Amino acid sequence: MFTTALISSNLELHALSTGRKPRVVTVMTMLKQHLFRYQGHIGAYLVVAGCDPTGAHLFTVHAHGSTDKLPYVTMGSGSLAAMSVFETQWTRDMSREQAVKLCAEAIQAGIFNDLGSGSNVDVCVITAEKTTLMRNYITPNVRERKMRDYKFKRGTTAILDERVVRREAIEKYVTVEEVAETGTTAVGERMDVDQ
Amino acid sequence: MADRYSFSLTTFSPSGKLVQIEYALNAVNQGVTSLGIKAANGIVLATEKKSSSPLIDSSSSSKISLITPNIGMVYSGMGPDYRVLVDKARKVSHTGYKRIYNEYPPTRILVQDVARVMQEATQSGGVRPYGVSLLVAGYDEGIEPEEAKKEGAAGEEGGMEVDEEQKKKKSGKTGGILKGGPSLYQVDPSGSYFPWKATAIGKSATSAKTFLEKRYTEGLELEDAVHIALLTLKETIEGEMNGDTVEIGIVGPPADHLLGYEGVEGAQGPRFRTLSPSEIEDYLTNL
Amino acid sequence: MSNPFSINGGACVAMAGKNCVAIACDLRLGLQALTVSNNFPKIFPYGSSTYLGLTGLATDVSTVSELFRYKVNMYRLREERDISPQTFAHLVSSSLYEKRFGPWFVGPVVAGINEKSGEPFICGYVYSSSQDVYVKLTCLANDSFDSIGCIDYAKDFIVSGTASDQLFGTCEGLWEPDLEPEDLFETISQALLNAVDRDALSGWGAHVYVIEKDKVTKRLLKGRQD
Repeated sequence: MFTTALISSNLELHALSTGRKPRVVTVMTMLKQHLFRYQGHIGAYLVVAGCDPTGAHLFTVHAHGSTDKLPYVTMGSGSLAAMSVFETQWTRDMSREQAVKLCAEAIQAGIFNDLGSGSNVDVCVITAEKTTLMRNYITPNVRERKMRDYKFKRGTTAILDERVVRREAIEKYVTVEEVAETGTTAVGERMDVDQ
Repeated sequence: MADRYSFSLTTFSPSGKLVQIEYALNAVNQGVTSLGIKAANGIVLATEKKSSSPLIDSSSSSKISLITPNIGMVYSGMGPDYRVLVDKARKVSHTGYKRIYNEYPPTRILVQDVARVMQEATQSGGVRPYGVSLLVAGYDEGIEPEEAKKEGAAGEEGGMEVDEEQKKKKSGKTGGILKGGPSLYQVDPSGSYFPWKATAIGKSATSAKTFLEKRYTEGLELEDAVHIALLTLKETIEGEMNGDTVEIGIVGPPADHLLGYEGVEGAQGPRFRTLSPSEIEDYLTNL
Repeated sequence: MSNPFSINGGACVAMAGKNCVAIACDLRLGLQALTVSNNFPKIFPYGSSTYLGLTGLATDVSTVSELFRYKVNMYRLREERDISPQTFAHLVSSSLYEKRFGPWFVGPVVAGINEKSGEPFICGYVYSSSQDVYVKLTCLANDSFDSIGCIDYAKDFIVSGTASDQLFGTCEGLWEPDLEPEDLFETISQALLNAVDRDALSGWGAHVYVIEKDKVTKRLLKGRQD
């Protein structure tokens, strides 16, 4: 998480100073250089995807700094299950709907067949114009509400001491004085050299 | 004598002045005029884009810069010094704030950070002060002015002592940095900074400020502020006024269409943006 | 035995209720099986409604709590406002990551109510093995973490400490959504007491804080002293 936050922060500064939108290869290169420097001790395995003026790109970056450029990629403990879906169903030039559906199915293969993966499917669609994040696109594992409630009767727990602090009690010790607005305040604080 | 003044360029003169800072202010006062006006719902920054030759491609340079999505900056004085400060301000907003708290700094914190950079240049060896004054405009989340007023009004009803206390507490909340909404600051080469409702810096700062004093009213709308900014600029500008010779930056409502992505909960578009030449032309025709 | 997380023992839990949150800890301080003190609280206040619970190596618990006292005091002086639980959670997170290759041996839990939105907030930082440390954030409410993964939205509870396995069990069984402050107190208290009774390294009394919008109630629980 900190790797992505750091790269995203650096990328934002890069974009501001160049006045251009960052390219996918730039992200990928920044990530691999960062990860290679730490010789695999930063255990981040990432999929990098995006659209820029040079087209749509898809990369994977491994913790040791190696990268792949492929038409479809999977990562994580459920990647084998997900890849099996891609290997059988992926075709060239799929439509947006087809691609979203295939990705969701690949992730669900991971959810149901890999013990380390679970719960819900998030999908993110990146086009040249904008990025759409669809959080919890599919939620196949919604937890049922408990059939009974297990509330304890109030007063069950034995208490030895109780202290209540109310917000008003704190504010009693704080006095905030509003200084009347006078135009001279700012001038008074000015250094002589400023005038 | 030579070694007495060799610690840094800014050593006190016997009369207690730091002449280098005064010289830096002279550089500012020769610079192109910039101005800022705070409105009830935003801020406008405006400046003249002067080019020494008609051969210059004016669309490739800009004087108003975005620092964080909600904070923008303009200068009067030396362009190269300004660009260094812009880079430093952007960097410090990340390293000193966003990478720690995962949010952008409030305007006053950023202003203090930039002011610190400028002050250090007046006390360090081997450097000269920055030859710029800055106008920093930003919008902070927090208790917005209208909200604070409403709360204050609620406390005023009834003349009981308890209510009196209540009122004091509520209005006290709007003090300091808790106060949300727009804020406009000026930062000088000495590192001192001041909050303003409306101000101007640069060559015609004095006359522009006199003009602003006459035109400024409380509770101004952003659109009116842009109008006043252009009128003020018109007084000081030499030569033609059009979309290529005037630059405007505004802090307004969040521009979600500039976000570039959607579906992320709680994400908000940038409030600061610079107006395009055609947008400026539109304002100018309505002047 | 040599795991720094389980030398001193201790447990901490936070739960979200309806417009309120609760955070609780045990009071034991031990040296392996030997109990040294039954008055070692592991919850620290950092503002009117932001609380941090720290379990793990006691020396780090003390040092880290003081470190954050310093950081939060500096924040308050600079910004003239209290730190929000969300902002504090990120401060904790970045401070932990700063020590990525020589970490603090603590398991923090943040609980509080956002003063502006009134939303309850709890989050924890889950470490995996002590060899290689991963910081995983579990959080509640609409918090915009950096949106690229790693977010595990938990609307219910956070546990930490040597009794965390037991706490997972009791919390999973007892917690239900939208508990009122009084009911939340009973639920978190019973979850904690019954979990620490099943862990040799935790127990010996407990502190429970119930945080509401304009009120915080701190209670000392009667727990087994054996």
